[in-house]
Amino acid sequence: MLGYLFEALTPFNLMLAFMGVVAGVTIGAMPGLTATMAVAVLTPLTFTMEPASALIMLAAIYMGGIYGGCFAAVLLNTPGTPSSIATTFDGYPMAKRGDGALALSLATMASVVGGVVGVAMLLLVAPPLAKVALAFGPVEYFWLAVLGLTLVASLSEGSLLKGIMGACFGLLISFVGSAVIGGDLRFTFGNPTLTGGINIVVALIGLFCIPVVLDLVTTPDPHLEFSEDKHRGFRLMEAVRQMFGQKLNLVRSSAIGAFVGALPAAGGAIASLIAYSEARRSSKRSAHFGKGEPGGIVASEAANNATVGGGFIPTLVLGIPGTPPDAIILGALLVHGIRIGPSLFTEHSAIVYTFIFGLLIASLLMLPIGLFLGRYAFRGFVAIPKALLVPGILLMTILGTYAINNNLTEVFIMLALGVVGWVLARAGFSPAPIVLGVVLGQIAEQGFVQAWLIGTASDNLLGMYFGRPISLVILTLIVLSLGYPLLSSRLKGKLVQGSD
Amino acid sequence: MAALGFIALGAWVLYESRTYTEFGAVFPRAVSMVMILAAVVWILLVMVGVGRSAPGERGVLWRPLTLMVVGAAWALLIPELGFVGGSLIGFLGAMVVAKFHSWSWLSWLGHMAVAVIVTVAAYALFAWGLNVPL
Repeated sequence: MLGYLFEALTPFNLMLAFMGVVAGVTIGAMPGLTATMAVAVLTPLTFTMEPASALIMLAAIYMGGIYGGCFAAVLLNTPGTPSSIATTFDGYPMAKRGDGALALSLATMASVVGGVVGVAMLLLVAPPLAKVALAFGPVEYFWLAVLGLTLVASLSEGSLLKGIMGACFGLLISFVGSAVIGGDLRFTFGNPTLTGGINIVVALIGLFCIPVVLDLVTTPDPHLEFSEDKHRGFRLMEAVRQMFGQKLNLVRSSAIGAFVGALPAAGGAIASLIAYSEARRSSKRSAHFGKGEPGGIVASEAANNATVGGGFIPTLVLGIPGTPPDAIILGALLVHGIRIGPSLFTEHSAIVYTFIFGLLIASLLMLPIGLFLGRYAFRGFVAIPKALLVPGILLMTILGTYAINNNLTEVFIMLALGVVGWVLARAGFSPAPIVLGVVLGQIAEQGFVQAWLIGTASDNLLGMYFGRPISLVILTLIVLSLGYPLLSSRLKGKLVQGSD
Repeated sequence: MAALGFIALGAWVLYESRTYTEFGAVFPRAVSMVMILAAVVWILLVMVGVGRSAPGERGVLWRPLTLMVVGAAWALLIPELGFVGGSLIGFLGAMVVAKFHSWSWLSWLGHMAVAVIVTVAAYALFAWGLNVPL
């Protein structure tokens, strides 16, 4: 085992890991560019490399890309990836009050710890965890998607009912195009572009980024607060002290992220929301969550980076990619002649374990890179005048949207969704439930319809949805997540909070 | 108003789903019904004074509305003038909307120079760095 670690520590592999993390963070930080795009574009560069080196670079890009999403989440209230949605809840309020550098330092350290825990899970418990992942059937995925939606509905600004309406609206957006089962063309209005549905990234950019840009021009006030006396370098010691106070949150969130990441297609968005919800529930400062509470950032970022390692569990053991970047990396493995399956860890142990240690090194490299970038990112960002910030963001969103499928119609869809999102935001509807509805729509529908088919065929529809043990556990969590805001607001003396 | 909009949207989805197969209609119908129910409950709560409508963000509206028009024009100009040409004009248009203070001619020059540099750099990143056919 030590031999594989030394193999990962060769200067060439270290350089690849460093370059991969920098490239991933840079791309993941820009709204419109995603970790998937970064991995996809840079994969061909690795075909001529040794398999282990190629995988180290791709994994570093992926890890950096997921982490990089926190920059846009904190500075622009726009998650760079769906995994960073929960980071916006507290990251952006912290930046608005001048603690952006602290928020980025916390996100960096939490991401490193989460990444390390995810890799540790991959190293130590991959095969048994893969068996647990196999126990999740269509109905479990359906309820998992519902759990994600109810969590985000109950966590985001505004009332629970508005969150539910927003989540349903997001689900309806996800239905545009060809149905996952049956192939019906729905809500396309005869437009060929809509036949392929509305891309998740298009919806994410439109619903998060455009309302921010529109709000920027409603007032001449600075976008984010900045004061010299608050801005003391990296604010590293302050962040370390905060992290020490969040030890339990950190470990719990990382474990949640690694476990949920091991469920194929569940994704970082659900993991970070579950971790955030649990952090809020168990914190003594739960009333401060959503208003700039460091614990919220720690939970979200630890969980979403842990999903990277966790996601490789079904990818490497079962050949079932957990996320789109996993699918691309799986393809890269096949190009290098590596067969996936339970024997991977024995037949290609040198490559696999060197890759896993490379993932660990990439996680650790995020610390110096992230702290360095974070310090200057916040300072630099605050210094940009609005007259350049607004068109700059619009430029990146338009180019980024076009880059997805080289289709200008999607740019119009993005702008239209942005206007809708802005109008809804002024009415007190948070964009997070809407975007998550778009993200989880296909998973939820596929699970729902498959379970419905099986239940109908076996004449046990109710038992199919409500009779399986894992489903019952998830259902219990759903009921708790719906009940928590009602209970919490009743204790505060009001039934439903309005947003302002 | 938004809740009424959601009820109307849900009703439209229920109406449209008549033409779909059972597989394609079952989940949209379920989601629409949940959405309509949530909207109705919200309206009832607001009417009895328990739920409150959000005051929302304030500030001038003509700038964001103008920016929406600039954004749409930006996307329409791209096929006519190419990415660099269309984006330069769009960038300058958005810059003017987001300008809150008066500028000297030197300031104008500086901002326009930055607009050119940023637009060209972004084009280079996407066209050559990421191989996007612009």
